[in-house]
Amino acid sequence: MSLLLILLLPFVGSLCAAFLPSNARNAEAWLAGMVALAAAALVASLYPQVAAEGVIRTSIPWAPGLGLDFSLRMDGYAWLFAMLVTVMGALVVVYARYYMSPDDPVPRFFSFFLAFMGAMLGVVLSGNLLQIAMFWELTSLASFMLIAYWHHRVDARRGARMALIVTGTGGLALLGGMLLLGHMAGSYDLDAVLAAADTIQNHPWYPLTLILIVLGALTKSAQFPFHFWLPHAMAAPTPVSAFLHSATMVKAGVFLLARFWPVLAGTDLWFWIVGGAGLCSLLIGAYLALFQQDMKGVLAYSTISHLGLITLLLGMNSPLALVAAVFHIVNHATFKASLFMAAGIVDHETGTRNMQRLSGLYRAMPITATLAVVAAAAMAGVPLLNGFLSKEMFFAETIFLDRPGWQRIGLPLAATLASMFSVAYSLRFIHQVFFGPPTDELPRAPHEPTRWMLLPSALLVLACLLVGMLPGVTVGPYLQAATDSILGSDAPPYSLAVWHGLNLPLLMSTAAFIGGVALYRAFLWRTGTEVPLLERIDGKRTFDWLQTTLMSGAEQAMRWLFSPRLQMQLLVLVLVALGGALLPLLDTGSSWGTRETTPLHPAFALLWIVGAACALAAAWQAKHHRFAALILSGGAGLATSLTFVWFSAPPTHRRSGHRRADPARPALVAAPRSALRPGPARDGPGAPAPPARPADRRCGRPRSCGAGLRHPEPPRHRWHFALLHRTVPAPGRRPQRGQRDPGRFPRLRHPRRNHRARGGRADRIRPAAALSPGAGEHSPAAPAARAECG
Amino acid sequence: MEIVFALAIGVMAGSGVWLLLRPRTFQVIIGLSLLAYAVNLFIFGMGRLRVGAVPVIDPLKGSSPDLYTDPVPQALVLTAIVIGFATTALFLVVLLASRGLNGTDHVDGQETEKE
Repeated sequence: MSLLLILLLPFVGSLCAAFLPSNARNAEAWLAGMVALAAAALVASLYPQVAAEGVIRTSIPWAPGLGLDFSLRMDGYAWLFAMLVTVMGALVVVYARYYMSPDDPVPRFFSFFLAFMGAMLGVVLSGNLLQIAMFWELTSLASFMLIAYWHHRVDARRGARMALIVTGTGGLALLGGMLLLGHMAGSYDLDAVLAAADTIQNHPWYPLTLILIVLGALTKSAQFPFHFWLPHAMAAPTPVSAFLHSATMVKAGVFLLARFWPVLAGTDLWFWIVGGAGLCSLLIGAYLALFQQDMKGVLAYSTISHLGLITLLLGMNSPLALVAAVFHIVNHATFKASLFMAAGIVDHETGTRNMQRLSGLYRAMPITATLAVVAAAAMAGVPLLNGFLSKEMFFAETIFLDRPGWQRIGLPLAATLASMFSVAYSLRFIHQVFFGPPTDELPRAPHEPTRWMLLPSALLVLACLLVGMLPGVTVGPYLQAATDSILGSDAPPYSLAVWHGLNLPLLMSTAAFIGGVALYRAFLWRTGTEVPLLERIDGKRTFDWLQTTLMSGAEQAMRWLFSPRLQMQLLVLVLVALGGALLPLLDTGSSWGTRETTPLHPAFALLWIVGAACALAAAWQAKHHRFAALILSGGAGLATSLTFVWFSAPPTHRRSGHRRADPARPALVAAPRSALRPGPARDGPGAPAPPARPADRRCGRPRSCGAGLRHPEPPRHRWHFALLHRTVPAPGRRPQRGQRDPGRFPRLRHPRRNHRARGGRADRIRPAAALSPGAGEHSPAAPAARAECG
Repeated sequence: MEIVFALAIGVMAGSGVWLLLRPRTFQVIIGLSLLAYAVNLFIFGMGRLRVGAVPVIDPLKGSSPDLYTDPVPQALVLTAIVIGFATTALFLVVLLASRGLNGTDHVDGQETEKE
């Protein structure tokens, strides 16, 4: 039950945080901090149970009819991740309290922050595939809201939208993969799926499932070729970057890959897809990080690179590589979050993150600088720090990779190269910002921040040091529990020690250090923003292009498929209906059948000769001789009624039903009084318009509907604009511009439009007056008529 | 009889659809009525064409199905007629308003250049 409590706490806290007043920074921070700490304490208290029992489960019936339970499950790996999420959350809350300015509406921030933490815990603790997908999407949504926190900024909105589109699309792929996985395993329960590895890997759907799930993981973890959203997500407030984009959310992808490692890994397909994406991200991320000018940009690309390292390790299909991957997840979270906090402190105290403007901050903020130096050294993989340990494990794995030929040589080389880049950008990050001559061209005079802002960063750096120096004592048992829970009985023996003797990995590390320092020395002069070689590879451009193409493609399709004209729409409808009706004939064909027919009665044939003639004539005449068409359609209706009577319609109906109902339809159309008059004749437009009599206008109602009416008798009824008056210009003659078509019926003006068109109070006439044929713009008699009306 | 009946339905449906695709609201409304007649006849015909049989059971005649015609299509047609009548009335009002407000009885509310 405490699992449920761990999951619910952040969500309840999020709800509470949303209702606090917008300036309650301290209350918000206390609430969020307490929630995170309480969740961390709860998670920590479960460790003995996890260590003893292996897996803790809680499930609530959700949709029992479908065999779906809301189930929570914690094993050693989930415990490690839950610990990471909650402890990082607590530290970042303390940092955020002092980072956010008093003008920022904090309830929104802390509410979404806690909701994100809850969603992340949901991903980690879910024991059901569909539940994982659901919480996965929730993390995307919460991340969207957090990136767009400063929504007055364009880059924040764009970055948030891009992150949402990329991770949301990935989430959709993941859902598809989960459905396939559950189908193959026969259950959506995580334990059942993890136990069905053989079934799944031999299933014909395995490649598709693998691709879908990996797609979800790669988009979430910002891996090549979906890495481009992460640098743009740096528009988020720095605490968000520290929490989401270094420690937790981007780790969800690799978390998932490791979670399903026993089920999906071990095949060549896995090696090429996961390992390939990891290697590309490792190299490209590290390379691009060299050329960033924004401090957070460097960290973002470095995150892509380090996540690439983890993905590559997972893709290597070796249990030891998995251990290294899980270890590096924890290490990367600690040093990268600490570096983000340092970048945020610099931004907060100097007003800029541009590395070209920053210089020599060591003198003004020595503590921040020290913390950043240690964390960056961990990032570069300096010995006695945690980054060194996992990097050595990575090097060892690349050497012992069980692959043929060039892959055995290429991979260690690529790893050393990436490590070299990593040393170079770490050095650049530290050297350009904190060392060199002090500058006084900063927006604000730099000084040390309040110690509460330094505390979280300091704790993380302390963790880096402790893990780096005493790995067996500090992180050893937890790492063991985590990897045991993934690998089960296959868990390999390994030793976490700082000194493994003089071996090849150490040599690679040394080479990387020397190469990195040399690289930095060689390119120290470089200040331009353009990236050599990879200038043209820009994921954002592709993304934008894809988006515009999709949008314009949709418009094009609309233009092709859609017409604003009713006739076209109806034609399509009729054609579709016709096609649908003809479809069955394709299969069965049509035949006359064998059923006896009723003998033909001549009177019936005569009836329908007349009826059909009526229908055809009505169709023919409906344009110009409307009254005639009405009568003719009535004739067709009468034939229909007589048919009903003929063929055994009940006597009751005969008295009151069909016989009345059908011919009544034309009567309905003709019901307006004016409609009983015959329709306008063809001679209409040709004849000159009779002079409008003043008397016609007096009451504001039209007395004459223009020329061409056979009955000059003016209608007294308001329904005078019945449909029987056509507005069709006669064939062969069109009214000239500016000249009124006498056959055309006056337009009923909307009172407001009329008022605006004339622009004066005197024109505020009753709408009825506007019906007067003389009320058009072109009639000089109109003002007089209106005056009379007034 | 059946051939004539089918031809009648075909002619009326054809005229109705043709009118439905015309640009004037009056034509559309007449087309709808003709189409409704055709569809009603079609539904009615689905219960077989029988002369001299009633659809309502008469206690004096007995209950053999041979004596009666199928009442279900007739009931359907009766409903269809009433509904068709109501929709025609509604259409009429809407189209009259459209005609009055737009000054044209084109189905799109404005004359097209080609017209």
